Amino acid sequence: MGVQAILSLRGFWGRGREKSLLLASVLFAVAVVLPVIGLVAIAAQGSGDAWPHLLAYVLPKTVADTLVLLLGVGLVVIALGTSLAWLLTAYDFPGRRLFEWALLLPLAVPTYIVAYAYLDLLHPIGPVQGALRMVLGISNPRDLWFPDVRSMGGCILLLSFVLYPYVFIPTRALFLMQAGSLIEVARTLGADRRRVFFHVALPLARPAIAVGASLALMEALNDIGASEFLGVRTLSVSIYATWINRSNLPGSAQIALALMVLVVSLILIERWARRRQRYVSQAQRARRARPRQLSGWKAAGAFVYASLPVLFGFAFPAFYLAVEALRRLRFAGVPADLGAQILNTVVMSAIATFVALVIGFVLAYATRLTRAPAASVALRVASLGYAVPGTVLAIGLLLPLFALDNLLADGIEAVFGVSVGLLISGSGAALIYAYVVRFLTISAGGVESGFSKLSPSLDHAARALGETAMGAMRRVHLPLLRPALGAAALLVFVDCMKELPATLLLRPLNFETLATHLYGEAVRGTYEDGSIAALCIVLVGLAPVMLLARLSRRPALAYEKGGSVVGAGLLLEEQAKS
Amino acid sequence: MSVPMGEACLEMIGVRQQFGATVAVADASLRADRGEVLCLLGHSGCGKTTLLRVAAGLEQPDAGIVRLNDRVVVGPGVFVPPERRGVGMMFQDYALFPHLSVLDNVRFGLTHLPHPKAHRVAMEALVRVGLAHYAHDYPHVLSGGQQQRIALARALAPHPEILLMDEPFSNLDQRMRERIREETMSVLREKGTTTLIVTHDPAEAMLLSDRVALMEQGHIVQVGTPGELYRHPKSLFAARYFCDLNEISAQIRGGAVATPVGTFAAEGLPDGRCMVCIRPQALSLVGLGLPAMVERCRFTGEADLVTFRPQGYDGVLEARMPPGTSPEAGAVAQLAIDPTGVLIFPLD
Repeated sequence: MGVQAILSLRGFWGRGREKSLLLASVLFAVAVVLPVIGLVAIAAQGSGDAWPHLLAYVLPKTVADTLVLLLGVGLVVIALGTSLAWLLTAYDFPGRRLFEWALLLPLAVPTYIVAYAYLDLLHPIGPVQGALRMVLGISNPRDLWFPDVRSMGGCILLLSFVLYPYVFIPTRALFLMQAGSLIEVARTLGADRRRVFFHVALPLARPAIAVGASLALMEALNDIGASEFLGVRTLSVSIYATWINRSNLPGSAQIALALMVLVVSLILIERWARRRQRYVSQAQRARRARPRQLSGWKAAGAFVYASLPVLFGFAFPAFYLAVEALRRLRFAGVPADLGAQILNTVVMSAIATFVALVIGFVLAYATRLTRAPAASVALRVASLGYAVPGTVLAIGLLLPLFALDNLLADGIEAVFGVSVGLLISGSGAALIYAYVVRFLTISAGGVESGFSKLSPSLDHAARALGETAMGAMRRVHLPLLRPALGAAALLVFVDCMKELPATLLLRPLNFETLATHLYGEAVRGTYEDGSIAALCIVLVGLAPVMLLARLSRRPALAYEKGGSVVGAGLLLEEQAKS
Repeated sequence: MSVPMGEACLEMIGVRQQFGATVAVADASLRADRGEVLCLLGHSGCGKTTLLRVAAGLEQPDAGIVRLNDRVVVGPGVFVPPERRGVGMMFQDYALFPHLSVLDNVRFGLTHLPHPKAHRVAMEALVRVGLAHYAHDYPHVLSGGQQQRIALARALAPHPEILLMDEPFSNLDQRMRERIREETMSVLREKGTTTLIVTHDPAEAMLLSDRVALMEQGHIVQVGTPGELYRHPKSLFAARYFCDLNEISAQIRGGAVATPVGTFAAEGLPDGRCMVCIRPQALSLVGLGLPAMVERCRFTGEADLVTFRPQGYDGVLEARMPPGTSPEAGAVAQLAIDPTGVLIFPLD
């Protein structure tokens, strides 16, 4: 009776506190949905004469191109990610342990940077074609036929080489978690290795493949730099062009709505593909199947196959960037504006990370403390932001923020008699808002999964020992959640640093981050000038890769955390299950 | 060995399996005759599961020969992979494919048959274990006992030359275990399937098997019928495995052992240190015998467990007595020790 009585008092928070916590999380959820509402509002204004033009000339081509890109990237990342995951699970060969983490390296290279690097690498007068001509003894660049990287095929390949880890990580984790006895019993029932893979291992890994592929495709949809540099007009590129080049906001909002339709269908397809997930995790404690030792040319083949994605997705572009950056540094010294760009990037990312962590914590804590259905709905809704592409988010934010800005400015002018201009849009607050919406799912999901590992009896014990809810949070939850919070902070920070589309559209005037600077140089065609910024982004991007590499030793965790942006799909599913 | 040798179904000779520095199986030899149920018994980590996996082809031993019905499946330069051995294997966790229906699970090993025939054979197997009406369900809706029977049906459907079972009943709760064990064994006996069962439970091994092979630290230490192993254990290890014992260390001198609780015959044993083991059921109350104080009585229903403190011995003797016959705690009783329940093992 004693414990029950203490618990029912609810200590410091009391009923009122609990309600305010609940209210806060509902407000956060609304704030995440706001851009989508804004988007619909802008699109509904109608784009006047532009719409028939869009419908006739822009949309069909961009939608078709986007679909072809998605299909291509989807097929390649699934083939590459799944085959690599199986190779590293079912077989043992020299170098396997190296590839376990080396295959994660391409995650550190954002799509726009890989495109940026290869454009220069494979340029007709670039190092690769130059070397080829020298070997073949050809003097005129026109006489050498070389596949053009500025094409749909090139775009699919380049995106796939950096996005396959989204499939590789969860699929390998699931292969590792599969009971070895399933594979072994299949073999005693007469199945050879081929049949074991196609009829046992692969069907069981389908949920992980679906999650990974959908995350990779979300990234492909979100991408703006790579597609644009490589001359593929995707929906994201069109949205940007329609807004910036034609100043047609309603038109770009209408394209953005088309993009949202694609995103939602992607989510639905993913859900459908993993509908049988619950069957899978039955025998997790069981031992792993022993990998088969490869030797001779088979081992060599495995080594070469596994090294290709590492070379193309990481080593070549990173090496190129390092060389270019060094040359640039030696030639012209440290660029004058580099410091300002780094500062801008770090400050914006740090603020966004802090806000995302606090809000994520409130959302997760409200669910745990109140156990109210409203709280968990709020958490789930707030976690949907990851699916909204950066361009869409930017356009959707514009109207509500603009209205708010005007309201603020008018209010301040009325009270103080001074004109302050656009406070929110001008200060970068809009950018932080966008970052938080997009990456909130990482922090909320991280805290949530951290909480789920803390038994409720810990809360009860703390409360029964006379601690308030607030005190229990401070003395019990926060210390125990530190690793989860740290990992979430790292992931959010790096994703903010790498973010390009929303940053391009929402940054204050003349405000450059590393990513936007790089984009600007690439658009101008002055590749070598962006190499230092690109190298900085890649180096910082290595931090979460190292974190993931450590996690991948514990397959269950790696499965949960997925790729850098978001094991979100996974975390969402995790929440949906509980 | 007193059991007449039949036709060997599985024969393993000098099998050795090492994992890194750990020797899991050291020079183990074993044969299972056709139609026989053989139990591999031992503590966890003794190598019994490894030996089973060598028979299945899931491990490739470092040395040794394995023959299945006179076909060499492991030998110098020979290793037949599991999918071409024709063995049935049942895992502790049943390893049912979660993405396949019950019927498709059972049909998994029947791809060599034309579709209608495979369907018929699988359904027959399901009928035999009494679960035909679950054919189109998925494994996760079945209870543990039902999953076990599906695993049995799946393993037996392709008519394996030998069925290998790894702790097949350990995941079931006590009451269901007895029933499923009964049903499983009746299916096996009806089909006359040669079976190798790995278990750590001596009672289970004695109940199920025609013969038991006892393993200790990678070695097979004794093979025989359950009765032989129980009554005539060759080692202290074997004796301890099958029965709780009262152990008194003593000296053998001239074919006899003198202990504080009596003198026992030790014919044919060399002089020196030994362990005298007295089975708890060898102790009984008589009119006049070894005086002992009754220290404690516990009732289990099937027997009374009584702790005696004999005069002149600074240890205690545990006894199992027919229920309701035990004396009050604190009383002094007269104990008799049945010599057939006394085992003597020389030490060193």
